[in-house]
Amino acid sequence: MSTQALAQATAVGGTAAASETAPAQIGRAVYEQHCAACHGANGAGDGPAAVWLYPKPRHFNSGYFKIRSTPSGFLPTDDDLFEVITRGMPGSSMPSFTYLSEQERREVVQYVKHLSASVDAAGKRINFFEEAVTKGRTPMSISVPPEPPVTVRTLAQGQEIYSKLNCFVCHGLTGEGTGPAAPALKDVWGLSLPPRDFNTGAFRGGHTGRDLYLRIATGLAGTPMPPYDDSVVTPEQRWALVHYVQSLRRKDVEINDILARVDGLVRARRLSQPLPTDPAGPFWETLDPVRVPLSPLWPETNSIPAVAVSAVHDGTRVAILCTWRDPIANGAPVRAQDFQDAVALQFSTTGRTPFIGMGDKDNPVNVWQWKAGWQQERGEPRPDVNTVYASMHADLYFQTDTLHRTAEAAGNLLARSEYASPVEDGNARGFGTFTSQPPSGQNVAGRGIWRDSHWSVVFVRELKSPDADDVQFVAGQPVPVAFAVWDGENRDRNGRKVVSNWLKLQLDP
Amino acid sequence: MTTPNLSRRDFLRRSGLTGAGLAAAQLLPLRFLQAQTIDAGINPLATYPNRDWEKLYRNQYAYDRSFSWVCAPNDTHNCRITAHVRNGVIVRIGEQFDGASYADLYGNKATVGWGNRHCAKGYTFHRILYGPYRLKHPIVRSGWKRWAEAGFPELTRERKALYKFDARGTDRFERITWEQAFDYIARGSAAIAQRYSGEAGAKLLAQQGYVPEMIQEMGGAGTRTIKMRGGMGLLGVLGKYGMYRLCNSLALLDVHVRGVKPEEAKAGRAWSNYTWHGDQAPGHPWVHGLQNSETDFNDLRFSKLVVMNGKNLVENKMADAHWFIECMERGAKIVVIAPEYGAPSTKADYWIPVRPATDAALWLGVTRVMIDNKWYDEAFVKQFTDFPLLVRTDTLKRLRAAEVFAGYRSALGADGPSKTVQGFTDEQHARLGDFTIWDATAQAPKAVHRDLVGAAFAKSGIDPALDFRGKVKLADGSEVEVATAWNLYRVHLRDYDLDTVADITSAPKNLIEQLAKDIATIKPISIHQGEGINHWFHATEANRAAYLPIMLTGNIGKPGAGCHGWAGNYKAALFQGSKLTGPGFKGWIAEDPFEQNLDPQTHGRDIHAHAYTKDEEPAYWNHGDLPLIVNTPKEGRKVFTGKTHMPTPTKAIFTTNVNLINNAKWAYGMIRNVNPNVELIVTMDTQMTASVEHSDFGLPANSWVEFEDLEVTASCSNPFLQIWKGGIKPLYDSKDDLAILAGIAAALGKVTGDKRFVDHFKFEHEGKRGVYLQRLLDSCTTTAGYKLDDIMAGKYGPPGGCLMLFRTYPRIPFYEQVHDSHPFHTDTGRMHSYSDDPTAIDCGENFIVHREGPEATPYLPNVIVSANPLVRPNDYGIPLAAEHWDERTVRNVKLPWAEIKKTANFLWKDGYQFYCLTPKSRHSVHSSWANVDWHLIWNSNFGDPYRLDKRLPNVGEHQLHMNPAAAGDLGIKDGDYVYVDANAADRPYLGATPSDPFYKVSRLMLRCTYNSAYPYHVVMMKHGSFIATEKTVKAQQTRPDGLSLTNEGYISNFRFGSQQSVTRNWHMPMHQTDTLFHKTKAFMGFIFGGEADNHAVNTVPKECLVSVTKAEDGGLGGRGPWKPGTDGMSPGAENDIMKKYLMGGFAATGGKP
Repeated sequence: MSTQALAQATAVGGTAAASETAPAQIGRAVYEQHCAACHGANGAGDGPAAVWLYPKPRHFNSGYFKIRSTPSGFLPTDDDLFEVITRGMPGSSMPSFTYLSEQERREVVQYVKHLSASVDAAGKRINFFEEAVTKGRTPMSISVPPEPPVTVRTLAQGQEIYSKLNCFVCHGLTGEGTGPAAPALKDVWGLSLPPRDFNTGAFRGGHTGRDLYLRIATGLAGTPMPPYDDSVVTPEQRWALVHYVQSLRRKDVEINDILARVDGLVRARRLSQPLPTDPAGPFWETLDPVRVPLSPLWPETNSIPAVAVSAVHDGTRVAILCTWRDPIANGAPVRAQDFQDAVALQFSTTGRTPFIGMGDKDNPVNVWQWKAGWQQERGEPRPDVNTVYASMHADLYFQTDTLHRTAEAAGNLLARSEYASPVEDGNARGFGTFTSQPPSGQNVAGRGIWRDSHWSVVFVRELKSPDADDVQFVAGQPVPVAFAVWDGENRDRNGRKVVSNWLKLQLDP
Repeated sequence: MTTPNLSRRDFLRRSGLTGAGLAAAQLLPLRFLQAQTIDAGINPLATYPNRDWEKLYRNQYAYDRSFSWVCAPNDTHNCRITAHVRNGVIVRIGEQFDGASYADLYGNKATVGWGNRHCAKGYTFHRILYGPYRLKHPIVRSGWKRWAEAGFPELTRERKALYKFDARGTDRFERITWEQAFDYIARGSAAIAQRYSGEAGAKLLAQQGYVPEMIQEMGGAGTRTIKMRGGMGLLGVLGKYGMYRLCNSLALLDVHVRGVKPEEAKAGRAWSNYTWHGDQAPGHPWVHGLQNSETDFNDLRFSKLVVMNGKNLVENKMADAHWFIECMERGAKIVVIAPEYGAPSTKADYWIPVRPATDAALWLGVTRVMIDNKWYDEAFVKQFTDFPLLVRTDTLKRLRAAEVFAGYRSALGADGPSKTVQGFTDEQHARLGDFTIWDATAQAPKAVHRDLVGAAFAKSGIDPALDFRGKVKLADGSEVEVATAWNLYRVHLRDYDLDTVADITSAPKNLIEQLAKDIATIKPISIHQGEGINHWFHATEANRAAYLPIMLTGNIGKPGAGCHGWAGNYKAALFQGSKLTGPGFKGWIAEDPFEQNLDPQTHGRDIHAHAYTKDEEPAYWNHGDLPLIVNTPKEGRKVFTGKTHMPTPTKAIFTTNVNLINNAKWAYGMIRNVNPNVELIVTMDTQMTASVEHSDFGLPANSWVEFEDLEVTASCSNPFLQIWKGGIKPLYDSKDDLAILAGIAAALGKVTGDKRFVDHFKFEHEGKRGVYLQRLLDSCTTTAGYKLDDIMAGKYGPPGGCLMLFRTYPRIPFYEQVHDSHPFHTDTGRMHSYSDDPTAIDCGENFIVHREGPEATPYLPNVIVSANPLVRPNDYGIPLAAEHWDERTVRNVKLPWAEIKKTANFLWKDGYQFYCLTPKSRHSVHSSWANVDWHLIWNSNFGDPYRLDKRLPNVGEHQLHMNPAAAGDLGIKDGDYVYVDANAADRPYLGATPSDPFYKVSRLMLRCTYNSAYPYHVVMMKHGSFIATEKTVKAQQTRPDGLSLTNEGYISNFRFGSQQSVTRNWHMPMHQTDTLFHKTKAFMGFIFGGEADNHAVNTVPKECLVSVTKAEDGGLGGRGPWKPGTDGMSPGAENDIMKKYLMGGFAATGGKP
């Protein structure tokens, strides 16, 4: 909402340059709240979150922009930048910012352009975009001819071009990004960069024919992907190649999850009947869940693409069901190398939409994390060291009383030998600040069931909580909510997870 | 975990050791670690807001009380340490940092430098204490009990099988009470003494096949078949060595059985400790007459050149290794001589690699370089060594004064040190005579007696010629050729020129020269020899040879100097008796049972000591219960074992604290072939061991922290006298060692009706053990004047601790010899380069020579490297092709090196091409701690508490270190299981056949680990591990978890076999003379011939060659290679990155990598 950004802009006005116009102030405020954590306050790609992310956030001071409609060597157009902010970069940690108003997004585009500058040897700051204008290299989109129909012939032609242009050297013969040169690929900053896996069908710069046409024609600046302009292939051939690449998509279900249009709203119907708290209960079948796409913060194979969310309330309590596909259930971790499956809901406690990465200092978030391991600790059969290692042996265990289980004795919630709930209730003001609420504040119930290669987890809480740190639910007032899923088999833990963008949860009156 | 159905979590919940811990926890606020409110965007890890949680750790470390005790395993340290007790449980063990507080009667004080004495073994003692492998109550072997109930019938072959004497390891154990155990043991002992006494006994033993010499040695006393070993000397003078007191009291049993008079009574045989463990440097008595030379470790800081020769001060002297590290800091030079590049080599200025067991050749080479270059201290050589003494070239004997001078009368005075201090008797003097020197001024021989050393010799006016050879007219008118030993050595060393020595030893010539030069130019120097020397058959020669440079340079008797033997601890000598102070240690172990002193006020000096026992080396039991007797072609049946060493048949064995059977080289031979003839085996221990498994009785002893009364010990490498008792109640139905011994004696009293058995331990029965301890203190030269009460009151340091009353601090061996011109403890009073002992002459070892081993050599076994005409070995007509171990032992043949190189050992030709080194591990002390899980995990590359590979016998596994190229040539990958076999003719046991199930039990199988530090033909496995037994093999093959853990609680370190599968006993003739004149162990006096732990058969486990063959794949569950061996980071398979690392490629600074 623009009001929010404006409020922020006003709030930080004191630090803004006096010469800044109001719109510029909006751009700066939005950037600082939603972008700087990753891209850095000055756009150097060095925000505090950058270390946890891969691929790394773009370094605006370099002047390299991957997603462009402009010829190789040119900067992107404003629309190019706007598209990226709007769409996000699917399959990466760059989310879609549709929850910002169009004006905010456009102002951010201007602010990003403002940050795209370098300092020359004389110490003079040179803005790339301004310099391009003065040098007559104003970014202009190349023309994209209308998309021709796909035919068997054009697909065959595309395959031929794929081979002729040596696309397979990086992307592999089947397009899964496993070509012989793939392991050695690096970006201009020297970081390894795997080539796109066409099998997923997900593309950073969008998956439409036009998007792919532009990527081939203009290349991806800063990466080993070169432009294939008209001196190499004709537009007709390029379209054939686009269609061939699109034909390599295999994971249709998942891509549908990723690409599904989300209206960003999870509605909780009010029930007169008792609230369903059994994740396997038949009632849930009667609801049409919202499919929430998820993006990995650190790419991994077979990451979970989406979670299906349903919610209901009865005027007193709210129940939220999350369902996702996970072929291997990972419960309580036993070995050092084990990790558990988990799902979390992140609520804004201010009603505003804070920074997606665990909120920000002005907008704390309330996080509910259900953990498969904690649930197992609650009396379910669970593996233990001597069941995982059936032949293990030790002389004796010394000092095994509670006092000597240090973390437990200190009251560390995570170290308890028994849990009141499998859901941890905590708060954060930015990443790295997550703090469990004290045991007395733990008031979220939950239960998960794993069957047929799917987890179904229900969270239940009173609408009103006496705890000031908790999110409050009032019918009709939307609450920003985001989702995260951890796949223990993929060694997910803490910041290594798949996350959604902000949505809203709204309780029907 | 011992209870498989109990999950770890349940275990943790249930086993909360105490309620108090929980209560303490409840007092703590539970939210220490939680921010009470979410602070604005702050990383909670970035600040340090709340330290209240530290209380938690203080609570965890809190304890109710602590007590001081002494960790007294068989090491040379005996650290006094603190146990912290909480709710009656020792929760942790810590250091005392009180080294500086120790003082003596005269106000001398130790230094703070002794602080911090403690190693990882002591730290983990409570894991042994509370661990699952304790011996918890008295047990008797089922078959033995049935034999007893049948009235101890004679053990015929059938009865041995009926009562499982021939398969003890498969029998059951039954729990019994202490009273029952004592009664059975007493009745069994009496029955054995009865059966084998007198003519009938002798006849029966002859029928059983014992050699006549052994039967004759018994003198008709059946008690002489009872062997007792007070485990690892001085680890507890009262409890451990109390065994010998019990042994001496068997004179009462003999009187009861045979009705002889007390003066004719014979008690049991007292088995040795150090010599049998191969710990003595057996050459020492041959050089200086003392059992062993050892110095306080704080003397090391004075050395400017420290030579570790087959000695690993880093890994094996852990608590006190800092003294040698300190001398590095002080600019001393460190040299290591060893086959492998090991832990001490990493500290060395240079490492001299040698072929195993060629050290004598190396030292002879060094000596030759020094003499050729005149790098010696001529005055010292003349005053303190035998180099100027004359030797007859015809008889090879030293020229005695009485031979030259008609009517010779010795000038040796009654007021000189020989008579007044050293206890040299007129009888001994008459037998030995005096010696001669060539006076260069007078150009005539001159007589010298043993007090003419050092300054006294200088004052005598004799001008000794060092390099003399000529004719001397004897008193009888004949003329003989004589020469000084110096002159003879110049001939002798022709065989040990630099090229030859380099060829024999494989050591680089430049380093041999460098060592000679360093010894000649640096002062003081100390040479430390260890198991790497002493565990070889010809250690005697290597020990003697290492003294040659010491003799040339006078590096002895001074701070930082000397040549010391460091395999074990010759502690018995610390409690030295004397005419002045009383019987010393003997007053305790050998108080006359017929003249007991029952007055608690008696001074220790007034105790009447009379040993009715006789020392015996367990090596004879360990050799098939046989002395060394060989049918020789030239001299017929020849007995090589001296009368002073002669064993008797073994019918009963009592041990405490030694794990005798586990530690027996050739253990499977003992279990299979020897012990079936032994009728009573009593083992006292704190833990369930392989020895207990093969005993008739297992008697649980209290551990050091459970002692209910006082115990005392001291060490040879530090100056501390340590007295302590336990601080917690015994966990199980166990007793103090001495209480057990007293219980056995009391039961013997009941069986014999002789009250003196009870009285012999009167003060123990009355709970006044301190009486014995005070008597001990009263009567030793090193403790006389101390009052027990004062020591316990902390008058001289920590309560229970004080300094031993040594002449110097640090204690320096031979200080009196060098400073006061006292004679060395030899017949000449000088240090010996030459020996005219008849055995030495027969063996060709009158000169110090290098001999190839009787087994561990690629060349002709036992051959002497020499062309010296005065080396005249007796080969007894035994052919060079003879293969029997005893024949190889006694066949003395000399050849020049060039000839030897053309010979070959038949074993080498048969594929036994690896020397097998078995050094001590830093993770155990002998076999103590060999079952502590933490140590096992650290001890090998295969440690894994999770036991992913169920083949692991415990949480770790023993390993064989092998050169990667050698292993590769045999198709053995890193981590594979291998069989290691020695000569199949006698190992693992005589009569082994693959079809015998016991062969499978006893054939060594273990993991191979690649280690480039070992030369191609050298493999290494650590000793001191717990052997596989019939029951552990059954366990690992039938238990679901595959552990080698028996129902009785014994756990092995091996799936099959052990280090003892490839070892055997060797009867070294030079260890068995009746003629070697030397100082007795525990009294100021001299003896000829054998004495346990002093001059007796040393076991030499390294004396073997092995073959190595692949047994199983090393990968998990036996499939494929062991993964860590293929990761590019392991020896023999280094990838480019690892190679770069090894070449220092990552450590480059500023330059090119």
